[in-house]
Amino acid sequence: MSALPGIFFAAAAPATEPTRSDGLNLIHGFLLGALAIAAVLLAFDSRRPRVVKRYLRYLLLGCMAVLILAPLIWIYCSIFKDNKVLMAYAFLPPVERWGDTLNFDNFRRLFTPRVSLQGPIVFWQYMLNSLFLASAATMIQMFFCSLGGYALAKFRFGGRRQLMLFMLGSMMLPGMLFLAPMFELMYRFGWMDTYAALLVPGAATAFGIFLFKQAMQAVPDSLIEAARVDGAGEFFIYWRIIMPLVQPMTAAFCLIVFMGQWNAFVGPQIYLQSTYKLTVPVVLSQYMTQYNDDYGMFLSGTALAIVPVAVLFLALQREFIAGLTSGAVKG
Amino acid sequence: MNPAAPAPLRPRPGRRLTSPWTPWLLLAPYVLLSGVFFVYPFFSAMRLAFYQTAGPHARAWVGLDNFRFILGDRDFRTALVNTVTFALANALILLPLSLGLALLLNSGRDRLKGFFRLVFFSPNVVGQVFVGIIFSVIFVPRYGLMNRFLQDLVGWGLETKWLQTPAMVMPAIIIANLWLYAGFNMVYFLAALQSVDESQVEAARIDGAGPLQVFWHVTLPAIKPVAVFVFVVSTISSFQLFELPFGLLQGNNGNFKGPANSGYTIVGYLYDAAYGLGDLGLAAAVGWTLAFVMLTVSVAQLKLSGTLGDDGGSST
Amino acid sequence: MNFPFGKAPFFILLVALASGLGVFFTHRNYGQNRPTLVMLTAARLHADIYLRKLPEFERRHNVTVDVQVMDQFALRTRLQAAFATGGEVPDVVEMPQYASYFLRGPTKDVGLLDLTDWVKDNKLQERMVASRFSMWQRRGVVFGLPHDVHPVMLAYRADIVEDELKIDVSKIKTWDDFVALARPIVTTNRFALELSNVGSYWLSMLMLQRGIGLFNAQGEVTFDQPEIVDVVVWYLQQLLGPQRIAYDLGTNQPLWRGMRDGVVLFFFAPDWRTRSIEQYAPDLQGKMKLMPLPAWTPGGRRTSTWGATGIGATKGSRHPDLAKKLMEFLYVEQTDQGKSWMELHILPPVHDAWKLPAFDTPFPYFRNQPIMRMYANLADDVPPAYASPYTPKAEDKLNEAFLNCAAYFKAHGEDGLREFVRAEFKRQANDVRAAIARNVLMQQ
Repeated sequence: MSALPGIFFAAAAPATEPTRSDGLNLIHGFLLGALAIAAVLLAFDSRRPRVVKRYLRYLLLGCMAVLILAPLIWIYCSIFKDNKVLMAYAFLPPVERWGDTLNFDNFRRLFTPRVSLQGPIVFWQYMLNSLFLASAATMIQMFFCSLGGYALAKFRFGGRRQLMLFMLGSMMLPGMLFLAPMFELMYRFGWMDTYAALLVPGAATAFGIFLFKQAMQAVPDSLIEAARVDGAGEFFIYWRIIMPLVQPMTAAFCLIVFMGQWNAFVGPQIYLQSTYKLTVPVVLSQYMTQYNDDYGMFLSGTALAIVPVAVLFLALQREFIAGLTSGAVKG
Repeated sequence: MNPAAPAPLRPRPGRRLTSPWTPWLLLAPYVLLSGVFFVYPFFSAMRLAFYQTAGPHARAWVGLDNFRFILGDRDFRTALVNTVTFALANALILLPLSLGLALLLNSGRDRLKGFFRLVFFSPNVVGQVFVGIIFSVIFVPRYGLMNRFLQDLVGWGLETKWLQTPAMVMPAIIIANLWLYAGFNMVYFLAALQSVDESQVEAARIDGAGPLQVFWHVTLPAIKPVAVFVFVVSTISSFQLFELPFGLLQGNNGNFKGPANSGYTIVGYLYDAAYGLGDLGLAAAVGWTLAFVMLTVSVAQLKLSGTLGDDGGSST
Repeated sequence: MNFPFGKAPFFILLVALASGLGVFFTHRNYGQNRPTLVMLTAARLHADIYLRKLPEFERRHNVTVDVQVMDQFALRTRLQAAFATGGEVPDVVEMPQYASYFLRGPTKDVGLLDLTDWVKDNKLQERMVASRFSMWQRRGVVFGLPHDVHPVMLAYRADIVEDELKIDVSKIKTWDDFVALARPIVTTNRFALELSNVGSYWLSMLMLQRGIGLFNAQGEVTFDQPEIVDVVVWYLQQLLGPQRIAYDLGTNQPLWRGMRDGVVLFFFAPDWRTRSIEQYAPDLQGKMKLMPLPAWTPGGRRTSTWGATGIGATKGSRHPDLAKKLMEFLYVEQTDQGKSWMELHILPPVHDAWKLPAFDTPFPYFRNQPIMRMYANLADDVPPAYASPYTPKAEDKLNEAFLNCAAYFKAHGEDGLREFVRAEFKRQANDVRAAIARNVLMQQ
């Protein structure tokens, strides 16, 4: 297309400012936010900045932070807005209008029990299902991938190189390609509409094994040798020596898997059938369809769905960073 | 890693505590699972690439015709161009931005570094499809957050129809992707920057090197392994782009490809062949074409950065 | 802490165990009875209504029916995967837009049940709006029943158009009349009509009104027939020309917001859109009204159609006869005196249903117009929209052609526009023809 941004259909745009009911100019808000963050930073800084460069750095970081946080703040503002005014205000309406524009209507609709053949279902059920699938998948993958990683990191054996090439190659193929044959397998195994279809095929992944292998290579061989001389079995070595040493990597891996599973979309859509077994992303996607989309309900659900992952990340922040360091940096 | 460590482990002759089957036992879950859930679909997809299919039974051998069709199809070319554009934007905008953020954050020693790391990483708690859907609301003309922001900032953009204008769809996808992943890659770079030797930086400074030279000659070599890792991994995933434009565009007109296929990607093309048209044969051929492209690109990347060779068999 | 994986994984393990127990105990509370029939739909609103209606069907036949909702892409993906591999299928499927996705192979390999004889035996083509079967058949073989008619009217801000501007809309018979009346009232901040910048449904709808479908009954590509030039040139003039009357407000909530702000006065209203505006712009209560579409030529067709849902049964169903009964129960029989149609604001394609008194209900939102009656009066004029397995491809190509024409119009104005439009649509249509010609399975 020969079109340039903005020029393409600009002629159709009204020349004057359309009806706007927004109180605060977004740029003022943006600058205020950035300045506030910069100010807090200055206040907390033990070594008072002496050069303009430092002020500039704080301002830049503050701007970036506001830009990145804005959509998230927008989500959390939107969930209280009535569908009538969802589009009217960028964030929240002016305080004097709060009474007639802010309410819990979105949540009321979200938590209205849904009728199904198996009985009424409340939104919490989907949260519970998602929580179980994500945490169980994390545990299973953590265990099997770390076992595999140990084998690749600390053993030399025939076929090792070929296996690693195979694993690397398998990561290159788009998953969409395998959707139909996988569906066929699940059907043959009788796993349709079960959580096995979601937990088993991904129980040990090439990606996870590689991550653990990278981290475990950093464990000195002498430790293992010493244990072997003392007559320790391989599983004892894995359990007592290796795993405690790669804990940061484990935490990072858990976070990555948990986030991926929590937000998994295609698999649960295809394999799960009974309404009470569905997961949060599957249910949320039903609120946005061509003939009827309910932004308010969708955003409230999303806002709730963010919470568990956010909590996990807050708890694992330190280990996550350290884990990435041991995994990727020493690779 | 540890210079004092003894020679890499080798099965020692004579007294051996571990059976040669131990590693295979440890790898058994992976080998078994991929034997079932990878090898079967793999061969099925390989065979299908030479057929036209419809339903479980209708199969017609077409030889290489699927590949011939794909390579001649204008839509596939569009999808390829879009995907490559995205991958390039990833390499030329996203990664430098992430590195820039990491450097900026690393240049001071405030205790609030953790705070910023958290802020910049926070978008990752939202899933890709949902980021797409959320941005489809943010990019709404006249009422969307993005458009209002641009209007207030530069006095233009309130009426920009991001998702309805072919030339604006790719920028919209790239912006949403920047928001989602800038912080994620930054965390990697930030971790890598910890391994930069401060004394070398000091030494270079004393020798009269400017900040750019220090970056080029000291910082960059130190973070190279991570940079290559992030570069290759993010390229591989950008070639598999699908969920983000899918979420961004599907609500628009019930068509996830965007106007004039401006948001069409290779995986989108594959999805369409398999689940729109119902031709698993054509879809398989697209899959192999994509795998070939990805393999070529990653090997080229590794060759260029000179990290191909030993795959890490022994400890570094 | 002796857990070798660390504190956080230990915590996740606890969560996994606790939620595992939770899942175990909560799932036990749901009935485990295997349903006799499974029905799949992409419309949450429809599902709510079916769940209300189904107990009667279940009593009548002493069976159980499960309704599962999934979004339209997931539904298509799952069905396509099931059809392609011979995997598990639901018995009855409610399909958005077109069943055509599933109709590419030889008839014996289509995963949907052939309903031709059943439809004929039950005289359904006569009892229902015949043109609506166009989307659910291929070369005369019927695979589904239509759920709706979706006639299109124009909805407008009566408080501005009639009260303020004193326009008598009953004088508007053709699009020429409309444009003539609209031009004087357009300002920089007020437009007469809503049209999309990408063509898309708006263009298809106007084409259908003019008698141009994407395909004909034989499944041949027809969107490059000569009349297309008139429609496209008119569209471009109204949206992008120097005397434009139209503006793109997008879809869904931004559109309703724009209607509320009075940026656009008329919008295209298939029946289902009247529900959306009532829901998302409640303060326009009593300010809206409906009128038939202006015709392309004097005395021409005053309506078109936008969107479609239909229902089909699968060949894999264990109870095909019961599945057919279910389809008839939900789509043809009127068990609740039209209440659900009023709720959805959807006109059923069943002639008998329109006789129900419910269809004369005045809608306060639309100044007490009996809007469902108005739609019903237009229903038999709704043009057929024939589907093909290549409908999605044809839609893409149509939009591409439109966008290229729009770019040409921006660059060169009306100089040589008609020739360009003709050539461009021919080129894109030929692309679709090439894709169809490549299909060796259909030729068997």
